[in-house]
Amino acid sequence: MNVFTSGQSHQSWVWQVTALCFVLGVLLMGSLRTVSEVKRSGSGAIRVGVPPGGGVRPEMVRKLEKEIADLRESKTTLENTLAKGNDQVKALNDELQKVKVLAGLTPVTGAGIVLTLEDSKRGPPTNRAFEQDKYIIHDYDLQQAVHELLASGAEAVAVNDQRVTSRTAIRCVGPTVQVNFVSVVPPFVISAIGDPNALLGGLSLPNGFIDNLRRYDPAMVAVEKRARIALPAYSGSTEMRYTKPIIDTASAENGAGTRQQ
Amino acid sequence: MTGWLPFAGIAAGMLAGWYIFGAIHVAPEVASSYAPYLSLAALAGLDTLLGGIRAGIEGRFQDDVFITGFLLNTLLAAALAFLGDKIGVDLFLAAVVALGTRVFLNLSLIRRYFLNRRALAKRSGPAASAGASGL
Repeated sequence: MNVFTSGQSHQSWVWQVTALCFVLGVLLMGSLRTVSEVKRSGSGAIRVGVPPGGGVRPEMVRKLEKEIADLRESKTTLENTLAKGNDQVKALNDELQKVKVLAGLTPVTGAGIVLTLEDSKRGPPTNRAFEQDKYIIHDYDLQQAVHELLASGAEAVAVNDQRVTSRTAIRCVGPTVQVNFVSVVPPFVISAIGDPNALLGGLSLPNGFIDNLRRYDPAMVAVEKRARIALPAYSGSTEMRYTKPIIDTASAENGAGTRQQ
Repeated sequence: MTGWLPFAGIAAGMLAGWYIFGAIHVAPEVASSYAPYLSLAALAGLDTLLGGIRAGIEGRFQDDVFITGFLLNTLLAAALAFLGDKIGVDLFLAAVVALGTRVFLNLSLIRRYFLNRRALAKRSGPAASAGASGL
């Protein structure tokens, strides 16, 4: 005997209560599932809207980049051939090649470190969901990494095979980061040539950016010393439209006219 | 005896809800916007259910009151939540508190009814208890 059959009046209300019970069951289960779904998607650091195959450039762009690299390489070969036999030209060419290495126009190799930055897989704890932001690698993390490496004496740096040059910008564009105007997506692999111990020391500074990232999730950062790493050449534009070199300081300051007097 | 029917109903409803909400896949951003309304509707349903049971026990169950009560409570709660969303006041809480209070009130009255009946049955012995069950 229970409550549902103990009414003094007719029993039809049991059926109506049953019908409402059914509706209630649907609603309860619906909100249960919805809320658990929302909670599940709430945790974990999510990069919204990364295009499928993000960071992969179209076939044509890759072909053109390869062509640029090939042309620059054959140019170097030609310069070297031209310099053969003539001491003056050879001296000039040696200087040219040094400058090209400095400018990042040639592939380089040497000892260094590889720093890998990745979005956190676990995300913030549920009671700190507002910190979701801290569990994603941002453009400024890459900037800090590159600057810290350069400050620690890195001679050549590349982010996801994009060589860092004097014209490199690292900036946030939607869900991706652009380096040299090319989208890169996580995991971000930053390779730097230099004294591995010095580079590692610079990155590991207490309260440095790696220290801060590791405070949220140690799995976001991986650093590795390597005896030999290879960096690709810069494949972007080298055209200068506004900048003119000042070749002779005296003539630039006084103007050509004074020299003739 | 039809006393098990509401339990069967709620079990069937939950099963149906599980499959319905499992089949429709909604983006989490969308789901998070309607989740409060769904929860509120469930609460309104619970309130009406307990109110109906209480009225049934007291012998003054009226089907029109029952049905309109459920529909209007749900709509009003949803409208309040929506309005609260728009004007930046958590009117949602008003509905939750009002419905929650009534759920507890009705539950306490139902519980009292049971306790009274048990006390009565104890006092007048097993024979009377058999009679009481026939009520």
